[in-house]
Amino acid sequence: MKIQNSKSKIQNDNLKFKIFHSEGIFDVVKIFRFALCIFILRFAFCILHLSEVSAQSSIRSPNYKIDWPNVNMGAGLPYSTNYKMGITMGQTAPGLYSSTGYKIRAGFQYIHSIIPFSFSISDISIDFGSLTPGVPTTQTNTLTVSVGGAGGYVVKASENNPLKSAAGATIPDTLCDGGANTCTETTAKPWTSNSAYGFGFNMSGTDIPADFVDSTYFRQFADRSVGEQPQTIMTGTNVGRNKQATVTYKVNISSLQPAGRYENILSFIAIPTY
Amino acid sequence: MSNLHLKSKIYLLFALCYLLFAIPAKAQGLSLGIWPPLLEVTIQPGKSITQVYKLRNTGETDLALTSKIVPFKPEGETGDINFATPGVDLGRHTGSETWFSFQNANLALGEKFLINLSITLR
Repeated sequence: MKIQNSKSKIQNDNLKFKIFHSEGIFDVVKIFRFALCIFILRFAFCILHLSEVSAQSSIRSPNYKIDWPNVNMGAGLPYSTNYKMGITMGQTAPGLYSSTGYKIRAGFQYIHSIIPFSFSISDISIDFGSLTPGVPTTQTNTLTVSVGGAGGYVVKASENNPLKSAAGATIPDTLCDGGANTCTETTAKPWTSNSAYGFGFNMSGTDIPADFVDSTYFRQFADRSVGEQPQTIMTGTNVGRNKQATVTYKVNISSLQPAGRYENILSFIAIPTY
Repeated sequence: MSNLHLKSKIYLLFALCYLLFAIPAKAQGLSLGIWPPLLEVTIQPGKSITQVYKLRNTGETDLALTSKIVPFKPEGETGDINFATPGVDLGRHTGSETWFSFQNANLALGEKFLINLSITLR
């Protein structure tokens, strides 16, 4: 009924909207009908081609999956005398509470990463075999980090003590070539001299410290037995899979080094950051 | 003389078999994943929360793990840490590692446990 009424109104208005143009009579109603047809066709096109659009329940990328995405209206760190929490307001599922505490899974803080935080070491036993004085020996293994979440990662390394034999003799941590090229647990320096003795490591690959300029640059491991803190050997600020770096271990002994089986324990700690 | 010749042939055969069928030595690595990697909680004294952690062994062999609560101090502003020295860095929070425990009935902090290959522990 409404359509008929509208139609009759349009027909009646035909007379009203006929206007004179310098080039002749210009029918406004025909233009209106033409525009209406275009609009209907465009609408039909949208329905046909966008029929799969529905309420968005998650956002995905190769690195992230965000559950319950939403346009937030506020954020911050509200607190009371009982608790403090980080929150992003305006979302569909604000969190889960219980009588014994709080489990807060809300907003930006709860990005569910498709990439789990994982850390791999390709070889956990480095065996140099029999050493010859003045002949450096090297071995390698590979560290691999996959990191999701909202930030990056850090890998730190340390040793429980320098290489030590059962009799108590030690192979000292390397000082590299010495003099101006004296390396420490925080700074890599060239170690090319075969008369420079000790134990150290080089890094190559992804996200390594800048002081490992090339394969001749070495550091000593941080020695926890004298209170040295584990030192960063890999660090990244972005998410990603299979970030790999190769550790090259090097040992060189003097002819005065007592014979024996020397061992120590190296610790690698992968820490997620934000 | 012929016995010696036969023995030599047998030894040679064994040596050849050893060379052909020797199993190459394989480096043993490890690969471990954890989720969630970060948890930040500020909580009132006397309250408690429970958080489920998932560990995943993505390596090639079973892993024997030992759990440990390690106190740390923040370093910088991006989440890096330094391990705290007990009795020096923690101040009034000394002993805070006793605040944590497992809800698993068959597992306690500090105990060794095994994660089989590609099995997720909850």
